[in-house]
Amino acid sequence: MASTLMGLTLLVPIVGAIAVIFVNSSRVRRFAGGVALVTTLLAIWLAVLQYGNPPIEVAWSWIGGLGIDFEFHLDGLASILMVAAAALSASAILFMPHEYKGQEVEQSSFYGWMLVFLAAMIGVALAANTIQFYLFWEALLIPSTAMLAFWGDLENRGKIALKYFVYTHVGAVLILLAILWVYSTTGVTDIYAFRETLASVDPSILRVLIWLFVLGFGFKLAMFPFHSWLPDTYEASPLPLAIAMAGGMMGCGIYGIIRFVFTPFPAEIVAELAFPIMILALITLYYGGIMAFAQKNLRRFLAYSSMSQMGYVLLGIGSAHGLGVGGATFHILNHGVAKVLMFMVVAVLIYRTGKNRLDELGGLATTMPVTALCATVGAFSLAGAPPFSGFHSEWMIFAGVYSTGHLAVAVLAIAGAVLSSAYALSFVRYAFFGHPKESLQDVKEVPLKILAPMLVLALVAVIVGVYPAPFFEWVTGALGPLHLGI
Amino acid sequence: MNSYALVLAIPLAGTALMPLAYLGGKKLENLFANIVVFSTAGVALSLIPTIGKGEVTIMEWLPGLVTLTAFNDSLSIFLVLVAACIGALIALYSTEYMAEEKDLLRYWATFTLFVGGMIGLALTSNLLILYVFWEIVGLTSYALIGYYYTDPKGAKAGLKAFLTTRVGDVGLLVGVLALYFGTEPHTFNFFEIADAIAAGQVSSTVLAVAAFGMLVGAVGKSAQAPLHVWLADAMEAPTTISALIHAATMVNAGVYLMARTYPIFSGVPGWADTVLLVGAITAFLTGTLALVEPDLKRVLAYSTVSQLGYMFAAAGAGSILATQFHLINHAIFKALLFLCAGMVIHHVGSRNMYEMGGGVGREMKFTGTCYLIGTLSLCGIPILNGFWSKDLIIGATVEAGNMAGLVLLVLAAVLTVAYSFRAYYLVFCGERKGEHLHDPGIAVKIPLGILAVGALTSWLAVDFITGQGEASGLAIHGMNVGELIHHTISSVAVVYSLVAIGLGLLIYFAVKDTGRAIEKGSPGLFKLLRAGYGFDGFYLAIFHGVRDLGDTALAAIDKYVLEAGVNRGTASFFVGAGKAGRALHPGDVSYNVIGVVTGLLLVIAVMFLAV
Repeated sequence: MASTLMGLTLLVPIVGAIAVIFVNSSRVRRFAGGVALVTTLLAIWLAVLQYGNPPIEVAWSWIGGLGIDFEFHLDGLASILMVAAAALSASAILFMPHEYKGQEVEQSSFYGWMLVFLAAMIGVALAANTIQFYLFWEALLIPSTAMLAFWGDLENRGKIALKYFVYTHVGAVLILLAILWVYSTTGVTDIYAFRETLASVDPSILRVLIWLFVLGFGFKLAMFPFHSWLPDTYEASPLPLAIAMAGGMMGCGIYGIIRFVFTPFPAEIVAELAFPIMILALITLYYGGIMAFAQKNLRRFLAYSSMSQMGYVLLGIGSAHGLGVGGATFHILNHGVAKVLMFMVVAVLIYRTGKNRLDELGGLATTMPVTALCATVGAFSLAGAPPFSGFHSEWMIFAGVYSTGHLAVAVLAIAGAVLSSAYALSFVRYAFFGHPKESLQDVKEVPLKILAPMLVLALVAVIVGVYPAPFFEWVTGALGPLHLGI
Repeated sequence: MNSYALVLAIPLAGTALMPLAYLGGKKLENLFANIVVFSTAGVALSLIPTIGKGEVTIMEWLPGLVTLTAFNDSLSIFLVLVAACIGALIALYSTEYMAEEKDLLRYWATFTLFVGGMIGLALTSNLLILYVFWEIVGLTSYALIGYYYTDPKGAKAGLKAFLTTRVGDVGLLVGVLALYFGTEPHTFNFFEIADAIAAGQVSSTVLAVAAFGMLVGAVGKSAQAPLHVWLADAMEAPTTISALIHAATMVNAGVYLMARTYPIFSGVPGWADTVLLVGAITAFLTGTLALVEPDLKRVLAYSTVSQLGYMFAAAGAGSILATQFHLINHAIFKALLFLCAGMVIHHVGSRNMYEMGGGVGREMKFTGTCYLIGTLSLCGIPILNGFWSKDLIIGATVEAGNMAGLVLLVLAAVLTVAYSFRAYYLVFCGERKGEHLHDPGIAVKIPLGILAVGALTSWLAVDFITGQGEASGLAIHGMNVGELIHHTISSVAVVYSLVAIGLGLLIYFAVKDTGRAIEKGSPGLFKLLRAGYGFDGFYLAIFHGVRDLGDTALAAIDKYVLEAGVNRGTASFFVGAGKAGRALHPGDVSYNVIGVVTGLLLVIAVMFLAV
């Protein structure tokens, strides 16, 4: 049962991506949306089956003669990423309004790539060995680069696609280097055997390995100073891709760093890393936050806010404390929901007003009240304010940081929430409050079918915020077997 | 479901169901909201017989980590009563005051959420949940300050309020986490923390971090100096909200926190004195600002901050009774003042006292009388309720032996009389020059009447208040009205109080309008006071400074250091040289790589510095 379901979750988007070619281009968006939705439902089903149970393991012989198998493994941590990535990518595909004319994306191959992108994220979550993980990790890169280069919104999209490719590829190479190094010293590729394997490796090698992993995933997380691809990419990406990146791909980065750095390495090696990572995290948090605060371009604003939020994630991970890592894990979901919601708000604003810049907007709450409400929920969630979901990951992260005993780091981290509030609520203020601008008098609220995914996400942010118990148990349950119980 | 869960659940469920009432039109919204808030008040009243020393469990919130538990002592229950009962009166008042609004969904949804949040804040004995409700009331405050969102001033004031209080919240969360990790096993539960502290398990460093952290949080929420700047601007909210959130309830949260934590923090060196001095300085400082303020609501806001300063001072002096008594009395007379002011502003169409046309008292007799009662109470004129509690506070400061605090508080009492009578004079006295006015309808008169009677008589409940306090195990001795009178007239404090009132009246009769007098007598001082001593300007400069930092320095790092790797001049040379393959130009890639390598070196530098 579980193994069939697991196979389907991965195969549905892949088969869907191929089948897209045969679908009439006027229906392709709905078709791809349907495939993504089915994938999401399968992922949720699978996660429910796994919830509270031992990991689900499956192996399929691929090239039998050569002894190369596909091995999949699903534990709590992986299922959090799987569900978040599937649901958020699906909402990205489903969301884009049919009459959206921002770019001509009504083409089979675009949605085909979107589904490949989705499949790759699920593959990252399910991968049981390092080689396979690396394959899926690279598979994330190809469709996104292609979409960025062919369907991007800016004139210089080719250049930006290349920059994106180079940056994230450098990160991937560092990860590959580490993976191969582990393989050559120990002969082990099983991710889930890393903990036992690494215990016997010479600490001096471990010290290098752990930095390779941190930096490798740091590129994906837009950790300072490797972040400069992110604003360009968000600005140039077709909106569905940007939304899927913000929601899903960032989650993959968080997942990777937790899976490869903070659970398998011996505690004393991790402890050495804690302080430098927290310092980098603080720089990332403040740098991104201040840049987001200063941004007038809506998409670059979101990019820097993502960077800043990844600073929180890194803080939680760097604390190496159950609550901190738990908060970072929870942030896969909570940041994903909040950021996708904010991206949808921005997409709707661009769609309705044709404007890309915050200073060209104003007073839209009068004409777009529901969008304004969604923006406020998203902003408060990003700001880590209760009763919205972002609060839970953030207080857990703060608690983790406090537990390290570095009072100054903890105070600075918590004060980061003031900065998040400043940029998130300033966005709401300048876009929606004040007098409606002359040129924006005729802007109308978007129809319900566009509002629906936004309202669902806003509701999720409220539900997780108000009634966190099951989600909290999901996160703590996921970390329990990883020797990081809370 | 016990009544503790119920008193919390009713307003929160009301918020969730408000959109349904919205479908039924404005009348249904008003009716539904009033039912919600009045039944909350009813349940709150039913909590009185349960007052004791224990704790009530409501629900598990984060499994194994955080359980929603509630205090059942009078410190919490009385705050719940203030929130629910004054909330109910203001809900009734709102039906007339907000009558001209198109729809009230946003208003009532946030109103009921606020009432629920405030009750949760007052009740919970779990510090993490306290923080949650603390933020929720802040969020509703933000939303309601910006209620008239098309007015840029409202939107700006909401943001200012949220950010300023959030600065304080940093301290609160640090304090909460300090206590959590300072106890073994870790806990957010106040009783367990208090036991651990009593048993000497918590180190003095941890206690100091927690005590001063929470003080910062309280300073933010209760708008004490130097974070007092948001409350006057918050007057952009509808006046009902100014009365409820920004006078009678939310701003008391900081005072409540100080009174609540006094028993566990009083041993921290310097803490109690700091609380007392913060309060006394604030009381005096904002009193001076009110002297020259032309906006009636902002005068009341400054007076609120000033009175909260008194309560802080009382908490710092260790008198829980004085804190609690003044909190209740102030909630009553300040809500009264705001609701009267709201009606006046509603009718004359301006908040500026110089533009109101004067003589309002002759035409709105009922409102004018109520406002006068509120003013006398605020000034601490015997025998209104403000007199008794202010006297207790000054008495507590005398006992604490804090001379600086005592002087500031007495001076603040002088200022209170001067600015309150000035406002009354400018608005209500003299001949009416503007259009004719009439008293409000019954939905407004009932709350005003009840509050006015309260301002005259609430001190008679001293027997009940102290009795419940004693039964709750607070540091309060039972005292009946006779004992209160005897205690008051036999203390030295009453002399200070009466001298202060006399001096204040002297100032009033000498110059009437202190604003104009200072403007003429000392333009420099006038300018300084109108600028709020420059606090606002300083914070605004930080706000803009951070943004400019992103605009300039960091943007430059992004552009020139990280992105280009080397300077743009060389890049454009290569780009210019090879136009053909612009998009895939190898030159740019190599710069990116250089950028990446530079970054890597930076990280390695951090590694070595850190290790």
